[in-house]
Amino acid sequence: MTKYQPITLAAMEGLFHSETGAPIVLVGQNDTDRQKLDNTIYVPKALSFLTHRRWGAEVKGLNEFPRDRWPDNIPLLYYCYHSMVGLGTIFIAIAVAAGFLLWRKQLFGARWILWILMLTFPFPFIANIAGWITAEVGRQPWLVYGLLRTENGFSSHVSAGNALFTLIGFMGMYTVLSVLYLFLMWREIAHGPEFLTGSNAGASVERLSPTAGV
Amino acid sequence: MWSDSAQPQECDTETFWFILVALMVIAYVVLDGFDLGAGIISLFVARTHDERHLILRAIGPVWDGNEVWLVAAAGALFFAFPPLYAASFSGFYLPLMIVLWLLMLRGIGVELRSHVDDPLWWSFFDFVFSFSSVLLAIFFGAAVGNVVRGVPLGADGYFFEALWTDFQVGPHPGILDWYTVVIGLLAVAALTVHGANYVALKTEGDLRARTSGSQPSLVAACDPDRVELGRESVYPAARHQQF
Repeated sequence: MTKYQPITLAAMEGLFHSETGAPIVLVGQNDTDRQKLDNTIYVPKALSFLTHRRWGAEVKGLNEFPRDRWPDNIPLLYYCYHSMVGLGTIFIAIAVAAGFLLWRKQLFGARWILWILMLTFPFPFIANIAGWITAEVGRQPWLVYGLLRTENGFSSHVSAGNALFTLIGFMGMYTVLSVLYLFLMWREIAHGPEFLTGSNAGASVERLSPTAGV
Repeated sequence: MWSDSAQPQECDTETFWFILVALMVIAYVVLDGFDLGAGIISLFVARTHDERHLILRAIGPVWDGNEVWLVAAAGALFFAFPPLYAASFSGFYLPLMIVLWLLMLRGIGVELRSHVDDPLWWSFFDFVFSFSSVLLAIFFGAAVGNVVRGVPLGADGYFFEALWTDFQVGPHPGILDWYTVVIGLLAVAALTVHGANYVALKTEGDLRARTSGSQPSLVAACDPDRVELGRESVYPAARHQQF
């Protein structure tokens, strides 16, 4: 990114002005009109290190580039990117904690982490979509980077009404698919896990069945 | 449409890619053809849940692999002949999207059918699967019909066809006119024979007997003489339009 798409990188990180020893912002509200971030929580110099492998390196900000080459929706890009990276970091933390407990053979008894693991299930979907938006908004205003702008890339033979029709069609199709998916998932969850078969089967059934030993 | 002042070497590359794309399209028609055909034939020969399930099981391991050939052909077209790709994908915009939707529906039919043990659920997804198979065959046939009949190519190398206009092979052709629909029905018949052969090969018992029994009438529908006749009668009309 630093080498090939510095404008997108600056927009994703909310770096409006070039900085030496640029910090990486974890949380902060994007004010694109005034070209600043509010209420930031940041790690000093981390962005310089991550991009140039030197703590004091200069990272180019958006001010270095002409405005008509900036992505057109910088706040959306900034928030999606930060959601994706933030969630990804949380996943790593949870995975490390759960992995540690699994190694200590305490995972299945530690209810707090099991709750966390269960309740975080929507987050990968959110991170996934946020990452997709980051890619699609981040590449604006280009359809082919540096060669073809999005505003020149529309089809002159397919009307906007036609495109809207197919967009609605796809939305309908995906709505049906989502409903079917949720229905089947709900059924699968309501059904519960299969009991183990084989040598362990007796033990688990005995422990799980309320009538066992009666 | 692409560079006609091509050097001999370039020409060789283009010929090579033309053959390659053609081979991919043929591979798609032959391979996905039999599972489309199996979807169509299951409407006629499979009478019970088990028989429909058997036909699905017969194509189960291969149908999605077969469809990759279509992706490969479109991808190769994009890289090898971009102007052709651009012209055909914007000219055939709506029908291609409909084909995409039908392919989705068909995949849903195959994949979701066996998730719930309920006769209503089964018959619904059997219907989705067979219905989309039939329509896909018609659309693929109509696509061939459009290529044979010709499209109203503009001076800029582009065209746009509505899905249908007045169903006439006239100066304002639609994707679907009587000629392309007839070719679409021919495709349905041909793919049904193809699928019937596959089902007969892969199954036994009553289903196999019924599948084999349905073939003679289907083969008659694809009789080369009649197809030739159809083409003869349309060719002058199509040529007359000077597309």
